[in-house]
Amino acid sequence: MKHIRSVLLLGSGALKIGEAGEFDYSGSQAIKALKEEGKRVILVNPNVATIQTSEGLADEVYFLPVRPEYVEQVIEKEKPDGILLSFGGQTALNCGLALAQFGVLEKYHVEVLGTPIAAIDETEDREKFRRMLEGIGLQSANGKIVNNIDDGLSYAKTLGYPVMLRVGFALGGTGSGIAQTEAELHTLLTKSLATTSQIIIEECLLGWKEIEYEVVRDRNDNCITVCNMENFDPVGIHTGESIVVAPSQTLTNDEYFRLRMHAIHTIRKLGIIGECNIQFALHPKSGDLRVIEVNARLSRSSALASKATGYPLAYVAAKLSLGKTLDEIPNAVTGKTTAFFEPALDYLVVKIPRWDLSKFTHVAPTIGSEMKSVGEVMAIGRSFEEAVQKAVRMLNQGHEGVVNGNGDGLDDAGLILKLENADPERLFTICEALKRGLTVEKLQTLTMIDPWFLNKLKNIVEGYKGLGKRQKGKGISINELLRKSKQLGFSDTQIGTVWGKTEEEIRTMRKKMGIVPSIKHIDTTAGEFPAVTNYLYMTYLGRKSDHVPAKTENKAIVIGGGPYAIGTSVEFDWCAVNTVSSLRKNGYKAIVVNCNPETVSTDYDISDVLYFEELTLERILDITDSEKAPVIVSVGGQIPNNLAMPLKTAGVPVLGTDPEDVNRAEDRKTFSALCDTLGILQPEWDQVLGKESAFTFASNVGYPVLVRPSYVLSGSAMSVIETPEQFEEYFGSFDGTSMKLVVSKFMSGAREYDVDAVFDGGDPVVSAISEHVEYGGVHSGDATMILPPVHLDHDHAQNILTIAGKIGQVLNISGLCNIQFLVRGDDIRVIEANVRASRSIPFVSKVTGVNFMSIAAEILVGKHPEKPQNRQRGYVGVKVPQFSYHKLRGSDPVLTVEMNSTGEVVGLGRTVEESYLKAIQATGYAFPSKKTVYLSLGGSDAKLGFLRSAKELFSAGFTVYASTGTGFFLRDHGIDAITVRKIYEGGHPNIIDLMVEKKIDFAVVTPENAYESKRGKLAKTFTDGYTMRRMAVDLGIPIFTNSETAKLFIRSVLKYSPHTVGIQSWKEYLC
Amino acid sequence: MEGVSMLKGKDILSVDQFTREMLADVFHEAGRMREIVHTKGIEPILAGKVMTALFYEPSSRTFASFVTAMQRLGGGFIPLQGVTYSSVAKGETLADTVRTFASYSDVIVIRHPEVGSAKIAAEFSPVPVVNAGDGVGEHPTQALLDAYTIFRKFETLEGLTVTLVGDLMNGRTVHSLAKVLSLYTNTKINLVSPDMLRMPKELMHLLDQRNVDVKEMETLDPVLDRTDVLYVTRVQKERFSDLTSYEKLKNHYIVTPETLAKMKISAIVMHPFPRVGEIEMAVDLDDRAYYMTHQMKNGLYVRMALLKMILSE
Repeated sequence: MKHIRSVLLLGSGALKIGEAGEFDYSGSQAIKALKEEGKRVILVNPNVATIQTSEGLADEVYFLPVRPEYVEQVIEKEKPDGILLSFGGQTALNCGLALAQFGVLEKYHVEVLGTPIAAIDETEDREKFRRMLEGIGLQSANGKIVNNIDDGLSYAKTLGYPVMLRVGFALGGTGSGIAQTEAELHTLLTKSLATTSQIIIEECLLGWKEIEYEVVRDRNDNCITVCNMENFDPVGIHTGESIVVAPSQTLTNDEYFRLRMHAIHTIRKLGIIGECNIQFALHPKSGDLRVIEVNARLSRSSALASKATGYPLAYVAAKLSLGKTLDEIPNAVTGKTTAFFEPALDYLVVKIPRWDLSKFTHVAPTIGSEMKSVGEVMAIGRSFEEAVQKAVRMLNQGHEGVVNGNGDGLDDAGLILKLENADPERLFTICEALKRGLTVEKLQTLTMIDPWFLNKLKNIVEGYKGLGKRQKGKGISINELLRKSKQLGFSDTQIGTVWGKTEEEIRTMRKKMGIVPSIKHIDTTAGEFPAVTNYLYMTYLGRKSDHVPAKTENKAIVIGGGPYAIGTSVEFDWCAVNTVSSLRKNGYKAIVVNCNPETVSTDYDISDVLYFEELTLERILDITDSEKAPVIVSVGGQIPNNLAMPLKTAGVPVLGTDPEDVNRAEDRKTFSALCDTLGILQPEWDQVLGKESAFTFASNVGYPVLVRPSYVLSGSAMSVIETPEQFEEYFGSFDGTSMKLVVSKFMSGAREYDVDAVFDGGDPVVSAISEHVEYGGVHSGDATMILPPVHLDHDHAQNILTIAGKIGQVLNISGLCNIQFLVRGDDIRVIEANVRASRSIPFVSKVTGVNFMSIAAEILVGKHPEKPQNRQRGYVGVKVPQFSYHKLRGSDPVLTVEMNSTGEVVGLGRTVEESYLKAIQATGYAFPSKKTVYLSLGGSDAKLGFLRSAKELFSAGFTVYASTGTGFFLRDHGIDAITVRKIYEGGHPNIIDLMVEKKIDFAVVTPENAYESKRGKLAKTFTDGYTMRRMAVDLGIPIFTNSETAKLFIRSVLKYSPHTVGIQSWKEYLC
Repeated sequence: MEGVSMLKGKDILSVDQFTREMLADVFHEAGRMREIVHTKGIEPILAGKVMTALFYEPSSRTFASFVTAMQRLGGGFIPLQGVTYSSVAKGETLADTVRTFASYSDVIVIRHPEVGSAKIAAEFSPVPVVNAGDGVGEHPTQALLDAYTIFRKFETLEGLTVTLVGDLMNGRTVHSLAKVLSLYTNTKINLVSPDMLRMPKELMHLLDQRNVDVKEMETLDPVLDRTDVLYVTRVQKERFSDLTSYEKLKNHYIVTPETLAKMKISAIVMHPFPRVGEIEMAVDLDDRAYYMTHQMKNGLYVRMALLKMILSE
């Protein structure tokens, strides 16, 4: 190995389904390891909300797409000695493989550190992988690609039924499935071959146990398994969709060691250096074994395993990649032992995925072989019962425990049907079935879940029943029953509900009885060596606490953001981590509470004390009882924010803005009254009861109006309504007579601005205004944002800041605040104010170079930091949302008032266009190379507004395809557009043909709504906008459904290319 | 239905926008228009209203029937027939033209050789727009008058056997008519065409979805005795790739007195016109030849009805 001085690290880009926060964890750990070894670290990652792209970690950060054409330019400029590919998910791995394949790495003499390319290749290529496994006597799932019915049937015969059929290239999502008989396979094949030419027939492993091992190996061939994990849901449910336990619970000793041995053999054979993950399918009866896959990189599972064991896999992997050996790396948890050991667990970990399916339209509410979840939680306990109940509460979806009445409205047949078709509520449905007396055997047949797990759930259900049966003076004592219930993981609230008492009453009762949880260390050695770190969890199955809280006044508890979901993502982890480091820098002991294994805030070395715990009032009070420290609730998004008032009421000091004042901003009525007294305008709004009053309000203020129900009905019921007819239709979908609605005047064509500001006792310290590219009406989490604004003149900017200042003062804000504005002409209105850290804090901090969060954190603990200097910047930051529609079969990729994006990226550049090109490409959009575009613009306004962009494209030599109306319009205006039919119009070629043949670079398809409803002129006709939009997503064709972003994209690609944009690091822009 | 019409203030761009209920309204109204024409000849329901007839290509029949319809309802009109791009105003776009004439009139009837033109006109016009044919696209008033003609004869559109014959691939009138018929139950449709000129797949799919009993065939004879409505369209020589097959098939698509001899006495024969020899002149003498008589007149009644429903207060 040559001497490595500088290392290029590739990140995973924006958070998306299947590639989430876990790679911020692995990347940050890698940077830490590399810096310890004295390496210069160059990071390419456009994800602005990550910790790894923060100051003080990597030496140079490039907010650029993790795509070969960009990374090559970084390599050319920075000339790194080595490159790490395994810390940025599949994105980084694919980019690295491409760089190797194109000869870029060789050209610039960049050495791939860790697992060699050849080994990665062997894990990625199904055929090579199969042969390698055969060489060591192992088998992968047998399968073959077929392209006609006869081949399919004859291959299935050799496998034996049932068989699994997968569609190689799924359009519209039909075709995959399991065939039990030849006749069934025939039907499935016929159906699938109608839409695709490639079908994979595989042996069916449905119902086999799914087991994973995390393995590390060094260059001296030292190889250990750090953790093994078992899926609660057997094969058939994607591991990212499955509940997972660590360590495995249902394997025999023999099985455990057999799999461990195979894992080690495989990894040695492959020649992995660093970390990898291997997944097995194990037949529950015959013991037959298949290797499902090997991920020759850090993965979601390795992040989970790290948190589950306390063994820092990513950190160790990075060291191994540099040539260190396991015995040379110390175990930081014990401070005495080395990394050359397999952790022992005297506790049990349960991971549960977090879904947000109701946020999307047209997505089937079931789970299966494709990943749909957007986040996860991990609970630590000393029994499965305790851990699973904790995990369920961590999801923050209103579940008090696994027995929660979910499914009790169904009859038995309905319940069984629900059990057979797995969905996100599966765990609860099982418990409901157990409650009704369904046997474990029956449930096992229905769900194929191992009876061990089902029996554990049964224990909980029995415990729940026992709670209800309690009679005074009979059976076990209250004390004993309460203790037993807590050990089974029941919350005070749930016990209280059964007993007709409040949460507070139960809490008081159990504390009086001395029933309090003990605090335990994660020590990696099951108590063999004492831990020097404070990585903690709480359990009712312990006799005493391992942890003694520090006796200092200078400490604070930071409550993290909980599981990632739509709207709560890595940006809040960034806020939590920056708060913690700011506190520590200022001499405070920082205590973190969080339950999300994908985060950096749950790395035990980030804080002084880490509680991997529930973010419920009960548990936070347990922690404050012991730690006796004030809490910070304003940096982790909605979950901690909602705890502000209850904590204050319970007498816990809450740092920052008084929760009463936070409430004044959150309650629409009080906030509105407050705006009125301050002379601040808001869009007219009212809270109305029932349809009639809603109509009256709308006709008074005039359409369009924005409506939102005061509680969410089966997902998205927030809508922009343009006409009375549309309003009628809106109510048509549910009973509106007694519904509470907030109706507000919708300002169309208004620009939206976000102000993020830090206040100190009501005085503004620092602020930033970001401009939305889309007009108001697109959720701010889905909006493209520009900093500094380009359409806002000086006077308006001053007005906005003055209004923000007034709000900050009257609410006496200490810390962060986000205020949203609408501006149309000289009309400036406030939409809402949130007195807490917002989603855009990492963005504004990194673009301005002023860490808003660190400053706010100092204010939270009573310091008065100086106001940073406001300086002119010669660059623009553009933030672009990342959507995961490609992962969510059938979802409609159209922007609405409801948030849909799963992540975000940033681009920096001298102009908006340069920054936007970088950012949009970072979300996976390819640069137009064929110079062809498809335009379908709904409505006259969109057409007039888009004409100039269309002309520019045409003059630049683009072939313009268009829908019939748009095509006619463009030709009439001198653009030689080629009309292609829509699907419903009949005839060919239609737009689908164009897309399937990959004839177009990108499509602009703006919705017809605005037109269809305009003046109510046109009766509704067929529209296949959805089919078109969906097809574009399935085929990976960039599609714009919003005119403003489409125009910006066109300006960007006409002005720049990946080879003309500036390749500058964050530091270079800042100075 | 009394009160405000469902079509009030609406554009008429495509047959796709019509439901059975709306068609019933149109038929009912057309009946009243027929009364007016037969009794008084004029009824000034639309006095004070003005229609722009914006015709970018010649179509004397459609143009005249719209103008007459407006006159018989007491309204005024701006006749712009045979306009070309340059004669309206040099280089003026349709978007500009419709906005100009919308400021003079209350409704715009447009005929244009290009697909999508009517939709653009409607998007830009603040007053309702009626599509009187946009190239190979849509011609909704033709489909409505065809449907009305059948309805007048049989007093229903349920349970009929309609045979469409000729070029079913390119004929927009048969496409529109088939869509209208598919809204009714127990409809049987026979599609008679040369193999290469069959009804488009998408439309067949739609008919199938709506449970229409559809049969495709190459010759007319087998279905004649069961047909209630024989709808004839032209088969153009130039659509064929080789002359032999044209020669072989052409006689199958020419309607003669012998053809009618095989049909029910209650049946009718229709044609959207103009014809180029696919119906022999001698057939005109048969009472069942509705194309020269009822079909033409019904066109007037239906257009009167639509104008009234769009415009009247």
